[in-house]
Amino acid sequence: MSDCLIRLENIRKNFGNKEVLKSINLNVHDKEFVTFLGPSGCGKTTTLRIIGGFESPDSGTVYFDGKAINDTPPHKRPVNTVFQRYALFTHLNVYENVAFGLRVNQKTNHLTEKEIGRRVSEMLALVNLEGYEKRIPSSLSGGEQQRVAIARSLANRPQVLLLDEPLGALDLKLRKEMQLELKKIQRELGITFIYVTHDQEEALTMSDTIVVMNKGSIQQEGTPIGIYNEPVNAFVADFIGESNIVPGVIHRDFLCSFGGKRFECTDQGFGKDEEVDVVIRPEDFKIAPPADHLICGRIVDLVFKGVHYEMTVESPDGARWLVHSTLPEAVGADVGLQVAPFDIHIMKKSLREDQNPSDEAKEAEE
Amino acid sequence: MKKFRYASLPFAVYALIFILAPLILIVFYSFAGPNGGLTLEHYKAFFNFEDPVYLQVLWRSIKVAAVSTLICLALGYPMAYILSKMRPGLRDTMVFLFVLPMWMNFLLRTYAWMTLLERTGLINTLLGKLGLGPLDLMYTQGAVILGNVYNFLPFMILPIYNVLVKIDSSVVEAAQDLGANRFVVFRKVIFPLSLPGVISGVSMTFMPAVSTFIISRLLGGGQQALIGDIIENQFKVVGNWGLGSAMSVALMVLILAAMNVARKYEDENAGGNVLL
Amino acid sequence: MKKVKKSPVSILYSALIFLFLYAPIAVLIVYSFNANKSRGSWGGFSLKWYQSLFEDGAIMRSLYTTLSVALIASLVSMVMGTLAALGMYYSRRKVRRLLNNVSSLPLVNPDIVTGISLLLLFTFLGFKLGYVSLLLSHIAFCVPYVITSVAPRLYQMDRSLFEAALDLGATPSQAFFKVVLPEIMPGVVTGALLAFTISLDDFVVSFFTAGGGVSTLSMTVYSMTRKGVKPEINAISAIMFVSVLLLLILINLRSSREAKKQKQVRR
Repeated sequence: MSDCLIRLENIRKNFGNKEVLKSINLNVHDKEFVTFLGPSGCGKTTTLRIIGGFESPDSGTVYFDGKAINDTPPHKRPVNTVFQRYALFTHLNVYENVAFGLRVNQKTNHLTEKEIGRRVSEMLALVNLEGYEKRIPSSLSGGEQQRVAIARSLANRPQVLLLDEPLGALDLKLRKEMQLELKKIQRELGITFIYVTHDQEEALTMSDTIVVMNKGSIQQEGTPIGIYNEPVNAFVADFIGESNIVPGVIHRDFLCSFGGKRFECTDQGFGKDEEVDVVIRPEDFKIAPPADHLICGRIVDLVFKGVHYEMTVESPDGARWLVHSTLPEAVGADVGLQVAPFDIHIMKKSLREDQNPSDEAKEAEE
Repeated sequence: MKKFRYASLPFAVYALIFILAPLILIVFYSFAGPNGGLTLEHYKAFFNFEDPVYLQVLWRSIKVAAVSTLICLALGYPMAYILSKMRPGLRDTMVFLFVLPMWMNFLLRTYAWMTLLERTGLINTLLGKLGLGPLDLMYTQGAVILGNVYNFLPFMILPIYNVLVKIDSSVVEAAQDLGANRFVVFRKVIFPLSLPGVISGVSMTFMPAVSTFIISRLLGGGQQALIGDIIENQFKVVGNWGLGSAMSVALMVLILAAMNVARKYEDENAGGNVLL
Repeated sequence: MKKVKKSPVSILYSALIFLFLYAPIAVLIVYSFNANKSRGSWGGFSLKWYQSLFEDGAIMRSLYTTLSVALIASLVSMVMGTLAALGMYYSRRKVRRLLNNVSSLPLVNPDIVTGISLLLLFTFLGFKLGYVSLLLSHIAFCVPYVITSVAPRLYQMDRSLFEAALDLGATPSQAFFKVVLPEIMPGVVTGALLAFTISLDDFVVSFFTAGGGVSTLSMTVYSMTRKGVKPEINAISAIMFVSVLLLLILINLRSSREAKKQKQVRR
């Protein structure tokens, strides 16, 4: 664990009676792009603020480079933050905003005015804002303000940059641009980014590691591909991408049934005839002619989604299946749904935290 | 950051001594008997129903203030409405012009009316040239009401204007779209929505009007004494501080109660507006 | 709706209201240049009332008192009110609500009650009425105005500004002086100007709390009106009107510049 830069050990935090963090354990490695992903209220921002020093945990320890930093005030921590609404100093121009951290640290960094100037220009170049030195923040667009905030927090050359939903206020196109740019900056500077978002697509695009959180605890930690393909529970499956989540039974290793049919699967280690949740991604269904061994139903809805069609298939028993395909079927057509054994994900029922995680996520976003 | 909490300490101490303690003292004096005991005598003297001199003054003060307030409302509402319909640039200038005389020294504003209303004043001089008058304009109840209206009219216009100008124009358009004509739109939509402004305008006009003693002193002479006058009199001339304090407490309770009712209504109304 | 704006009735109505508000002041200002002492007749243009105004020791002394009280009271209120608003912002809700209610008392109470209550306090404490009691009283009713104009700036301020400064390495006191204070400065200045104007305008509280020897301009005017015609009052009125006009234009320019800034930020 030599390259473990930040370690959270048994971090707990309550706000009043509300349990916000329930024993968080996490390692963040050097030069890693880590994303805390989850619906609002899941504790991701609180975790970030604990690392930044703006909140102190009720119990547990924050280690930085092996040393406990619980008692280090924010202004002495080698991390910097990009705040949700940028928090630019409106009474200072862009130059002075970026130079702020350098100036207040002049006693320790011994930078001359000239060196500060050079560092500011360097930072503004990094975020493509050359020539904006004299502008005041209120005259800038949202995207430009965002860039100033990033330049400002990088000027102190922190080892870790904390980003609290930094792109939330930008429109979709700008957000996509900034995602790529942030990733580029992170690689160029070779520092650790800890990024908080509730946008699963953003998390999948940018991260080396995603930490999915819900209700104050970590649900799953892994690479974007790992988390997408092998969600550990129904919450993660539903939060990352779209999923069909249905009740099912696993009879023995590699054999399960759901939707009234038996299927081969790749999961093992469950009890005999254990009740489970079965997760199938909509793009993993293949439409085939109806047959006895397939889930059968009728197309009741067809929506063009740009790259693919989204179809809803209703079985005679009333179950609805979401299917993504590049080839449309007419509404009313009777079809069968094929699914490969490795695309059937079996999850323990007990892992499912709540009945309707996606609803909560939607609520939180509002 | 919690350290910043102590920043309000100086004010807390100052307020305790110079805001709270004085008010407690008024209450104390209003109950203080001649020999250091507690007594209800001062209140009994004030609320004396057999010889209701003071109650009559209180009643007159309320009446004069109410009439002044109604006139302010009648004059002020249309003005606020017109203001709210002006284009924004002009509107700001106009609002500024309404605020301006309000900041001119209160005493001088009232004095200005003395100049106009006196027997040898401008109005009587002009009337004289027409072969009329001179009329006794000064030292009448009308003069006091005029002084109130003049001094407090902006307090009525501004709150109403502030509410009117914030009414979402799409609400009005929605009402028109649903078939309401301009009169109905006003009666059913604009006026109900502007009620919080009317209430705060009414309280901001009524409160100073009911407690004034300058206006009644300068324009009303001795004859039109209001509650403010007799309170001032108890302290500056008669020296009956107990009675003066009792009257102050009564006035304070009256105003705070009215304020509370107004505020409650304002809140309820604001809550209702969202549903509308 | 546009019809209402241009209708001659509403223009006429506005004109009448303005006439009502401004005519008395205009008459006073015109009379301040009247050579004739009588208010009824015009004796030609003259500046003699201004001259005698400046030669009148009592008026000039009270002018000095008024200005110095207003200046000191507004400066003290500025500091105390800003600190109070700041403390309240970071306080628990109960404490904040309590302080808020207390500070709104002088705003809600009739002036006469405020004046009398302070008179009782000074008498009770055996404090001799005079310049100091006058000043202390003015501070008492000026601070709430500063609090009410600083508080909204604080609540509009992005709470993370202070944290952002700490995050960049500023100590808490640096963060306050370099970031928070400049952010709320407009509210602080507006509050101080407001306090200054309110203090300048006050008559009732001064009337009860200034001792025999001390008199504010309002008090001097009051005693003059009771002694009959004094054309110097017209001259003071003219001067006051112009000063208030300038002061208000200053405040307005500030706040409209602020409003513009706010709009841009929101965009």
